[in-house]
Amino acid sequence: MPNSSELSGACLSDILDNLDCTDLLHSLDGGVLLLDARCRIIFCNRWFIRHTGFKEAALLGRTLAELYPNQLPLPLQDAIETACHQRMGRILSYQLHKRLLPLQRRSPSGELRPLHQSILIKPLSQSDLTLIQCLDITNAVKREQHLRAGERILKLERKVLELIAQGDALDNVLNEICATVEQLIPDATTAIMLLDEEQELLSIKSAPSLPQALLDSERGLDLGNSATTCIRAVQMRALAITPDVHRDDGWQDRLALATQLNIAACWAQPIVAAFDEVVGVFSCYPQRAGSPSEHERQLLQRMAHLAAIALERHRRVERIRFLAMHDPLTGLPNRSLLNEHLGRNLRRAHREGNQFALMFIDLDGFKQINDFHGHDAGDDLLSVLAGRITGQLRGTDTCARIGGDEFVVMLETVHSADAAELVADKLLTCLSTPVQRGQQQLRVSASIGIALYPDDGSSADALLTRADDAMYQAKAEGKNRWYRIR
Amino acid sequence: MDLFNADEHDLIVELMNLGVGRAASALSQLVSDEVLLSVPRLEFISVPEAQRAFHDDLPPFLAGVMQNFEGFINGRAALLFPEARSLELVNAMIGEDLSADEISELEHETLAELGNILLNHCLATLANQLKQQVQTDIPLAFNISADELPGTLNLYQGDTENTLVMLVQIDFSLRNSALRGYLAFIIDLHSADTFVTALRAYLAELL
Amino acid sequence: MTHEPLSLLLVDDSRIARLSLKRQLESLGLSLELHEADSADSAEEQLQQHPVQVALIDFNMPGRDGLELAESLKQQYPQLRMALVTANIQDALAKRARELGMTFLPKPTTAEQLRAFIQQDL
Repeated sequence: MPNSSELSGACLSDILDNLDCTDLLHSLDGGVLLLDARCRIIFCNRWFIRHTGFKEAALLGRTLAELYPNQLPLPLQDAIETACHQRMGRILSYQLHKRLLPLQRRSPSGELRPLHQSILIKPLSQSDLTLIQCLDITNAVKREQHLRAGERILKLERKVLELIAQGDALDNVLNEICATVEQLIPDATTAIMLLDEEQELLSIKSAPSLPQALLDSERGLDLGNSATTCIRAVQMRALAITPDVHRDDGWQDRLALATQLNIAACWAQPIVAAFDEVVGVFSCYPQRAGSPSEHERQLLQRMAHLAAIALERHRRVERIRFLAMHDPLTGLPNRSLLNEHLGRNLRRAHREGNQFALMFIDLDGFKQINDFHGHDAGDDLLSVLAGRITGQLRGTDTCARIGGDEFVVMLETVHSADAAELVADKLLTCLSTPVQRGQQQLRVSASIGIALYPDDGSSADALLTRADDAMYQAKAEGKNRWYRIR
Repeated sequence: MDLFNADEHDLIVELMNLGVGRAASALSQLVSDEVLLSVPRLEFISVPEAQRAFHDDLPPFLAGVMQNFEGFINGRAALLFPEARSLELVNAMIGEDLSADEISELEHETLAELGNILLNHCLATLANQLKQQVQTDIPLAFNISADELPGTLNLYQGDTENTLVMLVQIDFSLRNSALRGYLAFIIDLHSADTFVTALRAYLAELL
Repeated sequence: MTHEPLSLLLVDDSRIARLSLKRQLESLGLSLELHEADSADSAEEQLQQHPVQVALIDFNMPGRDGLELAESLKQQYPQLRMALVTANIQDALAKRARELGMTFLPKPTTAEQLRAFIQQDL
């Protein structure tokens, strides 16, 4: 059998000559119309009849403008007239003309959807006829939208990653993530909820589009006794979908809220941090009932992942900051953090006219503990005593370890010198109480120097020096006592 | 090539100006933004000169739109851009700021329409003002290297001695996207007689 | 109505464009004194040499464009009446011309449009 290239030219042209052109036009997967010089349809193919719903007889002899009164976009009408009258060929592209002929096509699920099209208008050179070709480009439009959406996600993702890398505040980053999804899933509000440390309560951390009043009134969701979409997401460690809040038992006591906020559905994606730990939920509240598309699922996953990265980084930064500001043995603030607190308290006391107290504490006999019982014993003792000191203080007071056996206590406000002296007495008692360590009983005492703001100094340095000097005076006077220089 | 005298040359520039101005107006309505245009620079060259000019003056990779025309003049017209910038132009037209790597079929169509509008307006204005007729075919968008351009434009089709190339260089910018485009009209000189006669008739009324 | 001829300046880089404006103006049968310039710079020179009441200015010219010229003329000759005569018929351009107090005349002009503009406040 000869292959196509072996067919002689004459043979091919024979075949072409005998092709039934009308039949060919009818079999095309696209619309074909022939118009006369006055824009009237003199031929239309089957595709066109099928997609317009008009009978062939109703189409022939009419213009498109007559068939679609007031529905034909001006550029299309212009282009057709210019082609029929002035013989100018034209293309009308989808991207510049989102609506051309009002045609519809059935989607795979059977719904009628607008048929995306581009139109070619070709004046035929051997006659005064004009050929109109309508191309169904719905699939190309879908591919393009998919491509563009993918690119848009990448771009927004990059923006969020940049914020994270720049060390932007966590709230900003989480708000940006919410805003990103709201941009890509129109008519949906979003929220990021975090689990508390005990993994019991889920509360809103970021929700830039939800009204503040609502956020304030919303307490945390208790994991133990409700089964909202978000809690299911935490428990299943997977996307939880409520396609219609009105048909979900977990939403029954929140329906008024859902109505008020125009929430029809809820999609919740767990936020999973390192070591597979679920730390929160990314939730999306669309205004229309339904489940997320494949594309939306991916988006939720990616954004929850970004939130996890942001939270992880935030935690690490916090951890590093804690390590940089605290003594690793006792967990007490170190000298840097003490200086920070002291500076802040000085400004406040100055502003508000308060008094506050600084105590310099040095243990008596600590060196001997280390020498006789070893450094581990000394370390254990320090940890216990650190706990006892903080036990005597209010939450707003500070106790810092600033050297081997040296501590500084700052009482945030005191009404009188007596109040500070009372605390010093209590500290002396608790520090000199023996510490049981296995079979050993470890016992030290303390010398404390007190300085009061503003009476004993008005700067951080002056107060610390004054307290330090007072502590030496206490040592000199026999230890296990406090002293204040008058 | 001194087929046209200074006045005729000036008249063609002025008619191109009219055509491009109308095209810009049509485009600006489509994209709801102003299209900025430079004064067109016009040059008539022979086929061998055109081949050299394409090689020397044009960017190495081109995106373009080509359209056949016939009537008082016969030939092919093309709008050419640096390929790298064509997607930017399409994005500016449709108001997107994304940078997909490849031009898709939809963008090809959009570019084809851009060229279509520009070339139709130039040719129609030329014909209308000279009281002549011209018919254009549907546009075809392409991406090629500058060396392939003569082949794509069928520069050697027929009698190269009797083919004239009218090259129009024009700078335009849309939103924040500025670029230089080239309009090339490959005119069959057998038909150029009518063109010259029409130009002279127009000038005779003025001079 | 004045019997002094009206002094008019045509600014266009294209000789053909100036010619066709001139032919249309002549066809109006008005008493006009015409001056010509092929660029913004030569327009300013012309204005220094002759008193001019009306200027018809092309937009797209090499060097300074018609709007830049109009802006500078507006400062120097507040009484001068100006029209932007251009093939660039975009609304945005027309708007900028009107902001400068110019009349916008799309090319190709018609004799009647020119008459309406010239006789506006005679």
